[in-house]
Amino acid sequence: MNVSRRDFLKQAAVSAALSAAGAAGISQLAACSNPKPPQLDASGDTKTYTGVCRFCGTGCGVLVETKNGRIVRVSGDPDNVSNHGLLCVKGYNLSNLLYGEDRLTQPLIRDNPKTKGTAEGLREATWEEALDLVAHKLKQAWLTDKKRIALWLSGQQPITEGYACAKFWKAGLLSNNIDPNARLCMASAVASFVNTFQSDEPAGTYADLELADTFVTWGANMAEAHPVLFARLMARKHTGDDVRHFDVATIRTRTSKKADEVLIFRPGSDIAIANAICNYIIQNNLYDEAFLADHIQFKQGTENLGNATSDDYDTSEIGKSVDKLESITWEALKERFAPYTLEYASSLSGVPTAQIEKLAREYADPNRKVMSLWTMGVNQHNRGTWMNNCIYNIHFLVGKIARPGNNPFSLTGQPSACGTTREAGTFCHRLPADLVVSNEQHRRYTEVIWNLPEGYLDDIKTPGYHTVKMFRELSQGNIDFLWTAHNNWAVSMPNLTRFLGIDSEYSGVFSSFNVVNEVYPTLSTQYADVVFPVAMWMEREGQFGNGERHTAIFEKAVEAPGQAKWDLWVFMEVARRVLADQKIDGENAFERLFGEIYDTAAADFKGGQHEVNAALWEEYRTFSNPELNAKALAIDEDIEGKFGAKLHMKAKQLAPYEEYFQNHGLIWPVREVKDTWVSTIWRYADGSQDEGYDEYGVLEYGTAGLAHAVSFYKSAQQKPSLIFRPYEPPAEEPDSEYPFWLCTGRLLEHWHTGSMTRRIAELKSAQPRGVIYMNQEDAARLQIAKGDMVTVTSRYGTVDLPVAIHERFDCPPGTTFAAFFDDQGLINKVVQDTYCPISKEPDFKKTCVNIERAKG
Amino acid sequence: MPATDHVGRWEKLGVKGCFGCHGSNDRSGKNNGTAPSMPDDHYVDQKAETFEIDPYHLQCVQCHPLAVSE
Repeated sequence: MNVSRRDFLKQAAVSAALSAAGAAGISQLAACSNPKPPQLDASGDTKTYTGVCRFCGTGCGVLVETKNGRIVRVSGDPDNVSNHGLLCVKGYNLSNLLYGEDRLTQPLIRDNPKTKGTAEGLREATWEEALDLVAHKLKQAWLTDKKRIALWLSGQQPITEGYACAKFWKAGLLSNNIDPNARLCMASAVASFVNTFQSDEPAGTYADLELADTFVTWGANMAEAHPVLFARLMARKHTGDDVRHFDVATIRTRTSKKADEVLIFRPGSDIAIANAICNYIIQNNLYDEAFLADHIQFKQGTENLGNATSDDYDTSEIGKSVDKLESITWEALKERFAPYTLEYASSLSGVPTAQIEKLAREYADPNRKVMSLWTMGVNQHNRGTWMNNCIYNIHFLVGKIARPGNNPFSLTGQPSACGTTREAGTFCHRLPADLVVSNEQHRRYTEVIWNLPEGYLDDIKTPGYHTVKMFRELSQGNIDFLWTAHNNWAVSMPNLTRFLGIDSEYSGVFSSFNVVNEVYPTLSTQYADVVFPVAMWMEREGQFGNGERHTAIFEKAVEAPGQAKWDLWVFMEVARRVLADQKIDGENAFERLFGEIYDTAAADFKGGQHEVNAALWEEYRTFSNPELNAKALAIDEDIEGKFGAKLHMKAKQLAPYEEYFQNHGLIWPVREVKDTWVSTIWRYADGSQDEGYDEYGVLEYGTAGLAHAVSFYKSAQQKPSLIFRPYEPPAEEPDSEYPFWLCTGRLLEHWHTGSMTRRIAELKSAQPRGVIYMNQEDAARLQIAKGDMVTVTSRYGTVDLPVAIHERFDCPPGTTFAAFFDDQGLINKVVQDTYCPISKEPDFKKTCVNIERAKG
Repeated sequence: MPATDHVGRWEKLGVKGCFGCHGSNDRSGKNNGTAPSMPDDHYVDQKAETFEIDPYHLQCVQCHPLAVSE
């Protein structure tokens, strides 16, 4: 058999990582990847580039073939470990993403604010005019009151660009009013990672999909929202012996249809189920005593939180104390769990006791490796952080974490929610690499890497506006300048009746100066005063970091159309203007911050995109490689003893930029072993680095010889926290006025707000518009037939949509589902903006609505 | 793919509903002349002669959008 070097390397890398851990089905997986990657054709005019899919958080590697300056074909990249060459329908249709008929190719300015909120009123402008106007407005607002400016970024923004934006906003403007749309999807996972592990990262990776014996999906419709990962899960079921899948959901989905056991629970009651599982494990002595003794500390936190529905929740007494935790004993912990009997959880959730017991026994079975997977059903929750904690609690009790096939795994929603917003730090409370603005040692560390005077960042030690706060302030007329990029806020935000000024009490969006970086006209551009046309995806070079700590690069393959520019150039040109007369240590502030990459006089970068990205990466990489900067190393090591703690920044180590090209991405922490940079597949797990274990992390920072050969060296006292969280009810529950639950989410064919996928003919024709799925009996009772237009009304707003009654979303009585991709049926007009008190992530899953046949 | 012609097909038949029109081997010969053939890489070992669809391609709807009866 002929085996190419490429195939050999691919097989060897995968096998080395997984076969040692007993992977099953991996040969089929490798065989499934694309065997014939496109190559240069005979005439030499076709070229192949490596990239990463532009859509969901899976982070599938792609090979992109171009001809005559256009992308002509996209196929899966067999050398990218996140997808091993697999793609879903969105990935296969990526090539059409760039070529919608209405690409924005020239800057646009709105002269008459009265046209805001309509498709009219934007005129073409020159770059100079648009940049000057935006810089003037930003500077004016900033100098007046820097609380009145805001930058809303995205988990779709590439890493180096997000890093530079955060540096501009936080160090250049000394403002923390910067937050990403990842607040809408991942913030609860982040808050839980931090309060559980003191480190924002999963222990495992997608490799666990080939190793687990049991999968438990909590609030995750993987078949539609993470199809490639679901294909891997299904493949494991087909090829493994007695592999089982439990789906814990509020609606039967395509994921449920493939599960062995489906637990349909009343919305909001998942915490009761998780606590009942914990209690069952404790009461039946099924817990792993050695693991708990070696690794876990027990805690409880502030309770009776109420709900973050009102604008002043964060500053209320309870709002200010939501993060507090206290240590408790094992005996006290057992008492906290004790009320959560199977019967009690069943009475709250509607799930039969036998099903909860079966799932508890599955988790506790010492002979089965268990992988829990969850996404927005857990995160977009009025107790999202708590529910994340609850899943970790189960895994802690049975000692099934951080070992191959045994892991709780939070699935992400966007291609670089992890890499950019979390790791590079575009949240209002964060700095790069897990650092936070409120920590003095973290500010000092950032200052030396950003070449700022000591104490310079003390002006931003208080977090700024989180996303919902930002838009609530906007709606009240308290924001004068809003800049958004890589997102479509006017479709994706909840409570759009308020934020779009449909409710006249909240008309602030019409008086603020709104800037939008975009590739296509969207509802957000209808509210913009200036629209910057930007290059998308492989029209520029960038990097995405996905949910398994995998960082990969997409190359620039084609030119952007018309006058569209790289977002980073746009940000630099505005920064250059705004900071023109600002000084840091007597030096021009812009030069100080960006002089390494940008030529002020030439108004352009010093070098090509690749060089600029590499330079920014190397600066960013210093955060996790402190030996690259002597001053940073001194703070990391706390040499002067000022801070009483070492930072251990190398625990998140990244590799040099070029390594990511050569390896089609790497999983951090990336360790240099004998001149080779090696990924870490199983974080905290002791074992050979070459086989994917965290050998160097445990050796340098952790403790060897503990139970299950793991060491949680990033956690306080090297012990993560098992935090008891009680069941507390949803913010609102169905009543006679609003008798239905409404859950929103995604579909296979469309991604997020549909601004891209609705311009791909194959995807649009398959699912041309949004609908609301209903239970058949509910519809019959209301004399509603499928296809009928209904009016959906909540306490927040109203919208008309056609009804669907279909097993694709098999809604229990009293439950409805709508995807949010269609701006013609803007479901987020009715969705509450109540958020998790800890993570500030809105609850998109439990708005109560009324449904009636539409009039007229 | 004429999505509207495929309403409910996967939901009812799963991957078995694909073979009749898209098959490309002796076991599941293509009988609809206008239907694209099932690609080789949908089969185990990427060979149609294995007569077995590989596990990763059993979930047709993950790669092929299908209209649903809404």
